[in-house]
Amino acid sequence: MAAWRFEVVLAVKEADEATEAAEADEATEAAAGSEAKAVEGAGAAVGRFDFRSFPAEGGGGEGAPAGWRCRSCYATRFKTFCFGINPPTADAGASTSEGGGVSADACVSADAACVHCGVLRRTGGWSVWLPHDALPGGWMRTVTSRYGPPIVPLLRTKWPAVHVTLATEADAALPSV
Amino acid sequence: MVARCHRTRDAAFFAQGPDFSPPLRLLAAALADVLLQALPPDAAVVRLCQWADAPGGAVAIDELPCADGREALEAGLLRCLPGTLLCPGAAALLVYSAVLTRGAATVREDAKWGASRGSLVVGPMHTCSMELVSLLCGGRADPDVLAYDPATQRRRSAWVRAKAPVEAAGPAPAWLLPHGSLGVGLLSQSEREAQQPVADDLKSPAFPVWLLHGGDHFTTLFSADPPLGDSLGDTPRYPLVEGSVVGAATAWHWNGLPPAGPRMALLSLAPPAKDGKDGKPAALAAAKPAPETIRTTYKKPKEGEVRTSGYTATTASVGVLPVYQSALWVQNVLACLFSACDLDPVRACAGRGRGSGAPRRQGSTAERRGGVALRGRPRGEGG
Repeated sequence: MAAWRFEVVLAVKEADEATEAAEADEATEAAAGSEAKAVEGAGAAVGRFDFRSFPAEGGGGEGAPAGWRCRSCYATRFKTFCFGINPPTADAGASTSEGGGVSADACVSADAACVHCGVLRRTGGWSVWLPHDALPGGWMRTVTSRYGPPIVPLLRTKWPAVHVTLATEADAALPSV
Repeated sequence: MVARCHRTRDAAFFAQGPDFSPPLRLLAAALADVLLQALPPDAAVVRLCQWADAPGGAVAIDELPCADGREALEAGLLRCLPGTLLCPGAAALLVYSAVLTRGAATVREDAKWGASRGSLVVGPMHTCSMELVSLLCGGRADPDVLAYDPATQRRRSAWVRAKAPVEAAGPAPAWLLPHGSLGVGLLSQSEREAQQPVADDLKSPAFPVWLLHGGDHFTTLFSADPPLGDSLGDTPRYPLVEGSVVGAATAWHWNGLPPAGPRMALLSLAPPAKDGKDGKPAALAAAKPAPETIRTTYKKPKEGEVRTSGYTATTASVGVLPVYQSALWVQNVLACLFSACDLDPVRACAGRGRGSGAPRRQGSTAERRGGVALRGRPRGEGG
């Protein structure tokens, strides 16, 4: 699991729920105003981001699709069957590298537009690839349950935050269940 | 057996752990526990099976009275052990004995609402069903081990029998064990599939012994640590069960079947390092008891949090696919016995003949589990 990377997108208010969530959020933010200020700027450390603090580059590495993924397209994938992958050379209006080509994901401009929906990258959002240890705690537990050794989620039904290792045979795999 | 060692507070077991070799009298007491709790309230005879000829052939039945208390039963078991439960096919004989002690019709009635439709082994590979495990560990072939009654949606016990109404009616009967059950728990993969917790008495049993149900295979997790020193008497307290372990705890895990077994592994169960507050070491907290009624929860990511897109990448070979394949290969020891002998205890005891009856359910949990595992298949080099 430690060698895996996970593609993540930023959770935002969808259009249909923005209105009803606004009042609740206003009350919450008013109550925790000072705390929110302290958190600002340290988004990655606490697992909260906005588009300004969200990492611009994802580092998908081997196995990851080239280019960048439009968060807005991905959110509507069940309606459109479009998963928002933008090819590396398709971000019209984007910055170009010295060689004249457009980079895969590291140098994509915030003004790049998605070739599918036309929404600007800075407006619609994008995905990044995070290593397992950089995921927020809740998601770390979720992906461990989904993709990790089956004994771990089983033991976490009794001890929710347990970290399971072998007391002996350090290099051996966890037992199967 | 481990639960019986805890019940008797066997010092040799606490010192030697899984290397402990139990004497025959302790084995007889453990088997008496299993058979006694399968005894219906109005019955006073435990039926013990043995092979009439070769293993897998005809079965002879001994009737051991237990109306005079469990001592007579244990003495009878001790006499019969060498020819019955210490010979080849002993696991099948134990299941036969439990079924006949409970009554084949009663077992069928217990299990009629289960997915296996009254059979104690399921699927084309004859895997062990939850009904069979419940019969041996709880005395009833109950297919449901979740925390809520399907009819009332109220919280309930799974394997523990309530002592109060029975004791109020008179002296405690022989089948009522001191803790209302063997004191063994269960942690099940079905908790995630059913979106309901397993019953509290299974998550927090009287002794630190749990069966681990991985979908179609059962393994065992247990601790050989003695109870807290101030908890003598009928209510031993184990920090691992209560969730009050400070720092890391250790527990033994036993998987008895190939290809991943036989293997006894010592696991370290540690709390998350960052949870320690004020410089104090973190405690290994246990899950909270189930609410009185079902409460559905879904936590939607809030604005500003990240959510995974469902895709994963890897730069190293990760064992998701091998785990999936292992799940298909690993089968329960009882199922292997039945498969080898072509036996089905309920049908055999009910006199329907072997291999007859309703068609077995096709498609095991492994197939559903395979779907989950394959969704997590890495896009990179693969497992």
